[in-house]
Parts: sequence; structure tokens; C-alpha cells
Amino acid sequence: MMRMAGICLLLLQIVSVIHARFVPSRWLAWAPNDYAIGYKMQVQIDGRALSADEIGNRYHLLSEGVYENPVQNMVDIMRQREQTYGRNDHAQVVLVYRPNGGSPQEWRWPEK
Amino acid sequence: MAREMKSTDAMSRNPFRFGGSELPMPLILVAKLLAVCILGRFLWRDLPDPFLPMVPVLDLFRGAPYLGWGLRVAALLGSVAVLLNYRVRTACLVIGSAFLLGTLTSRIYFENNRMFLGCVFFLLGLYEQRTGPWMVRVQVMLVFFSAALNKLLDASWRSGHFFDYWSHFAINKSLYFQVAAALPVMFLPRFMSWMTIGMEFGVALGLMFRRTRLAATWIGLLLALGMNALTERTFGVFFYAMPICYLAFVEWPRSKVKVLYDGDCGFCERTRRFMARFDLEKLFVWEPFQQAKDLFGISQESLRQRLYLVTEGKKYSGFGAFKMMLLYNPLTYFVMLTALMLPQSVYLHHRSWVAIFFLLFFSPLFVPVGETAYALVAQNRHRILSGESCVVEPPSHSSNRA
Repeated sequence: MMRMAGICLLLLQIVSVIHARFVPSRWLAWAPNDYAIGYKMQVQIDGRALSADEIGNRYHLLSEGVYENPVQNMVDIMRQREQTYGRNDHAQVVLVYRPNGGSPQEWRWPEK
Repeated sequence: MAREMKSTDAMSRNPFRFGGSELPMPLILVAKLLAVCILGRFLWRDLPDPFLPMVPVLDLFRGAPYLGWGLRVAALLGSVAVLLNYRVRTACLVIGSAFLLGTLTSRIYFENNRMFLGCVFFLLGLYEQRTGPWMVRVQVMLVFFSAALNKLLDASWRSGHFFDYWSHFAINKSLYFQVAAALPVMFLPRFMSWMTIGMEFGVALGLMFRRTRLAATWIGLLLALGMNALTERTFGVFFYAMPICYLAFVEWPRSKVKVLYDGDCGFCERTRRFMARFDLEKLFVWEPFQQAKDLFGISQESLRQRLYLVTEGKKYSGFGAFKMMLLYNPLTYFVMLTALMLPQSVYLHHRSWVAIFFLLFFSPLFVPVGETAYALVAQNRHRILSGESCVVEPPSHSSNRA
């Protein structure tokens, strides 16, 4: 029984690692500090731009910095926030990021 | 001999005692050192309240502070219980569950090092005698293999662009940038990337086989040291937790370890008393070779010159014997961990230096220095503390002179 539980935990991780090969995010997939995403986010609610502190409170992320997971992880966080706790806020989010020092890219919420 | 060890094992609430625990050595040592990390780095305090959970059902607990508090209390009490040898396996399961549930409870909280801690504790809690330590071992290998694979399949790692970009905000050693500037463009970042990938694969695969395990451990330790020296970062708790988990690959002595020393030497006797004081598990049996029934095929002349340590068919002498006494003493790891975990000042980055000192001391590179120092002391041992009483009668040549 104990052994089976341990094997299940290890197998779940292997499944998660394999799954990560087919998706851009890296949740539970053992990719520690393998990414460096320079980013800056801007958030507007009812036409008013949120301050850095307000953005921090909203997502529990810095409004600007370097994120050491894939940008998709950050997108997942912001999207989930806007789809759940903040779905009535109708926030407009612009995330400008440079994955591993590459050319700047952008993600926007609401997504088209 | 094994039976003899068991009889002396009694459950103790002393954090530095291991006998009688539900986990065998070295797994109990792994659990205790990781518990020290949780307490020393206040990791239990960081366990989150539900916020953007990975599993939507956990959102039901949002606004109810008891889940977050429950996790924190569980990790804290679990760690204390592990240290005090109280229901160790259950405590490990509780700690592991707290960290794994914490990871699922909040995407913000997710960090690989926290998840690693959760997995290791959970697997320690699932320990059974018939399974042995292999589940924890597989966990360590899985992390390294997956990390190396992820890097290998990432174009920016292969080209070195990731390392080049990352280095500018993560590496705080000007020497790195001076060397990079002196070399062809992108040579050093690419080299560092491939070296990291190679080392991680090396650790993952090397740990699989008994013959390559020691080399893999050294590679892993050098990787951790290198990253810490370059960045002054501990990557959450990885810098401590991963080296601690290498202990799960150590073949700990199953029976008493014999130490043969010169009983005709006050200094040796004093050394014995000193070392025995810190041998809380009473693992080492010191015996003057003059009185020993079995000399394990070692000549009296050799024993007169050097101290010998004999464990499960292996013999170590001189500095090597002292090194093994330190490595087989759990207190050594507590001392090293404490030294590494002490807060470091902004200007004096002592952590890397402490790690370098420990690695160097236990590395083969230090053997010539250690042996020279040992030989110097051994040759003059009758002069040092000459007033000390000896365990055995003086050898015949001195009595002849008298």
C-alpha cells in the first residue's frame, strides 16, 4: 500500500514531465529556474491604470521584473485571476515580455 | 554485531539521536536535516492561503484562513516531531502533504524547490523496510533528469542565449563577465549552458549505478556550489535540500565500526575520548591494537604508525580514517548545515566560502595536506600531551631502557 502510494507519486511526476513537452507552461514539471522572462505589465480597470502596488495585490506578482518560469505560467496566473476573482472587473491587461532575452512579445487580456 | 547495535538503540527525544527511529540511517538523517531547513529558513511560515489554486476545488477554501494556518502548523509541528523522533514517518507524511497541498493551493506559491521538499518528505513517510531508500533516490534522479531534458530541448539553452541573458541579472561576479569578454562572443554562455546540461544528466545517470554514485554526488555538489558562488543565491532551499538528499545514496554502516589505535600514547587516548564524546550513536568501537583480538590483517608496525578504521571489510588509515569518522557522524552534517544556513552579510559572502571549505576538506584534493598534517602529529604524538596516561603498558623497548 505504502509502496504503491510512493510509486503513484513518482508516476504522476513522470506524467507531468511528459505532459510539459506538449504545452508551453511548466507546472509541476521540474524545470527549476530554466527561464528568464523580462516583463512589464500594465492593468487598467474602468479606464484607470493600476499602480505597481495595486498590480502586486491583484496578482501577487511584481508589475515589472524577471520571472524565472515560462511566460505561460505568468499568463496562466493572470488569466485565472481575471476569469475567477476578477471576472466582474473587466480589467484590461497588457503584458510585454522578452523570453530569455529574445525580441519583445505581448499578451493581452481580454484575449481575442 | 547488528543485533548488538539494535540493543543499544532506544527511542530518544534528543534531536541528535537517531537510534530507535522509524526510519533507518541515512534516511532519518535526511529527514532531520530537511526539518532543520524548514525551521531554520522559516519555510513553514511561507505556506499559502488558497489563491489561484492549481486544483479549482481548493478555491472553496478561499477566504477561510484555517487551511493556510493548518498547512503552516502541520509543517511546523511535523518538523519538530521529526527532530524529536516522535512518530517520524507520520510526521514526514504530514510535512510532505503540507508542502504538496500548499503547492496545489496557490500558483503563486509554486516553486520547484518547495515541491521537491514536499515530494521527498512524502516519500520518506512512505518508507517500508522492504522498499528501502529507492523511492527517495528515484525522486532525486527524476528531478535532475527532467531538468536536464527540459534544458536540452530548449533552443535558447542550446544556443546559450538563456544563460547570456540570465547572467546579466543573476550573476554578480565581475570575473565571469571579464572572462566572457575575453572569449569569442557567446562562447562562455554556451559553454556554461552545455556544462549545466551535462552535469545534470551526469548526476541523474551517475546516481543510478553504485560504481558511479560517488562521482555523480561530487558533480551534483560542484553544480550547487558553482551556482551559489556565481549568484550568491540558494534557489529557495535547493542549495541545501539537494545535497542533503544525496545522503539517501550513502551506504551507512550496518554494524559497529572498529577503530584501532595506539594504546601506548596519551595523545591517542585523549583523541579517543574527544571523538567518543561526539559519537552519540556509539557507532565507533575504539580498541588499542595492543589489546585487540583481531587486527584485520593489518601489521602491528602499521598500527603503531597510523590509526585504522575498519568497517564492513573496508579499511581506512590516518587522515582517511578521521575523515570517515566525520562522515559517519551525523553531527558533522548538522554543523555543516548550520554554518551554511547562517545569515550572511551583504559584503561578506561567506556561504560560498564555507561550502568551498567543506567540499575541499572532504575532497581527494585535500588528502595530501591532511596526510601531511596527520603524519606530523603522529610522529610527535608521544611528545604532545606526554603526561597523559596510557591504556596499555609501555612497549618493551622503553621498558628495557628503564
